[in-house]
Amino acid sequence: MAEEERAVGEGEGLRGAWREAEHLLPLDEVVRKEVWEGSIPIRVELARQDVSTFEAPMPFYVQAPRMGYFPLVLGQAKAYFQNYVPAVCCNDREMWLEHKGNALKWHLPTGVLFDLHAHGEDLPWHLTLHFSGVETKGLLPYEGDVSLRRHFRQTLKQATSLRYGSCKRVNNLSVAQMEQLWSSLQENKFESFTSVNSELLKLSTPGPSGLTEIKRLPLRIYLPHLPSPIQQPFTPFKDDGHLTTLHDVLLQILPGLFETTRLSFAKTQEEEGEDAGDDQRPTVLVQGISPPLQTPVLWLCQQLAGADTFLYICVIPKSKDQEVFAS
Amino acid sequence: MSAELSSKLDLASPATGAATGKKDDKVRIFAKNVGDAPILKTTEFSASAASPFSRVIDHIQKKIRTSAAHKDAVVHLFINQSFSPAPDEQLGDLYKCFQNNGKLVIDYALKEAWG
Repeated sequence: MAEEERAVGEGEGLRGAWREAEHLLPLDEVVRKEVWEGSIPIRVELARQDVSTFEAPMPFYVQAPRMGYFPLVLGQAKAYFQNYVPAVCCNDREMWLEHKGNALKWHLPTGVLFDLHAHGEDLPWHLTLHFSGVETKGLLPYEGDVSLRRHFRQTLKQATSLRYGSCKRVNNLSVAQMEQLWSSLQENKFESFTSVNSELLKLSTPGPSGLTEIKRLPLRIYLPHLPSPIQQPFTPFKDDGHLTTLHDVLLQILPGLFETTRLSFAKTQEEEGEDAGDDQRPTVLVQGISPPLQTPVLWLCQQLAGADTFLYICVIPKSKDQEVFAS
Repeated sequence: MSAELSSKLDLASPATGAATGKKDDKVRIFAKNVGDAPILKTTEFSASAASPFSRVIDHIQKKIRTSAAHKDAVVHLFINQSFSPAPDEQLGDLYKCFQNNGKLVIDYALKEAWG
């Protein structure tokens, strides 16, 4: 009996959630294309200690797509700099990028690295390319293209496992489709990318029961000073039939940072986005955008996810919080 | 307001605790061999929730390499027979997302079984 009641309750929750989700689930190709086209101008300088010639080379400029990964755009930079570094060093294994003393992780999307480390900085983004000293930087070993490809596929499978409870959808992609997904990322071709990517995001049944296909929201939260992302399971909607919002997620994972914003958050809504004078609030970035915290995470997962279908959320605490964190 | 704010901001510390897993939090791991990978003497063990996944890779690899036949073995680890987490992912979060009956099931192979 009690179980029956619970099932009825869940059904109501689902119907409520469906009313909110119905218009958020279809992939919005206009938004998705806009997000895909995001890119960052970058100025790459060769690290002084790696210069083996009398004169240091001029910096190298490149426009890096947000959705891509650094190694995909660094090939040209490597070719350009290779005449200036000792020949033994000039290989993929030794190559790493630095920003203000931090080694940048090659396995994170370029846009995530920028939001995390350089939000609000002047463009182009100034980076230093190194060809020595990688062993002490705590980066994952990089053996060339194959490392990145492997990482991408494994992350894609993990996101899909979270989302649907299994990674069957990735396994069901043909070799050609997987190849297409990867090459569209390499060549920055949206149409080619989205035709395969949408296979992984579209629900197979229409109506409320389709919503139950999504078990967990694949999301990762990054803070500049944490060595690993925070990844916890969240359902797309809550028991009360409302969709899980960005605020729900952040409040649960980082209560100390987001409880204080509750008041100002409500105020901001009233004041139509006017800054409520709360300069303590951490900056929350998804694809370089600060979404309103009441945005349903489901919508963000459908429209603003990375190429590996994980939603990357960067939280940049204000300097005062950072001190609290560090202690 | 600033006094109230700063007292609330102190909560940021426990939040990091929740985020990175408290020091004494442990995660139960069940390691299953795949293919010709040898069976470990202890298939169940626990590890700190705050530690990175690389800790488990190193542990299993070290155990396997103790036998002469596998002294150069490279192990590949998979969760729920589906994917391989990156070495820098946090064990506690992987547990929360993918545990089964209170255990994180890890399959290990000498080849990339689920590439």
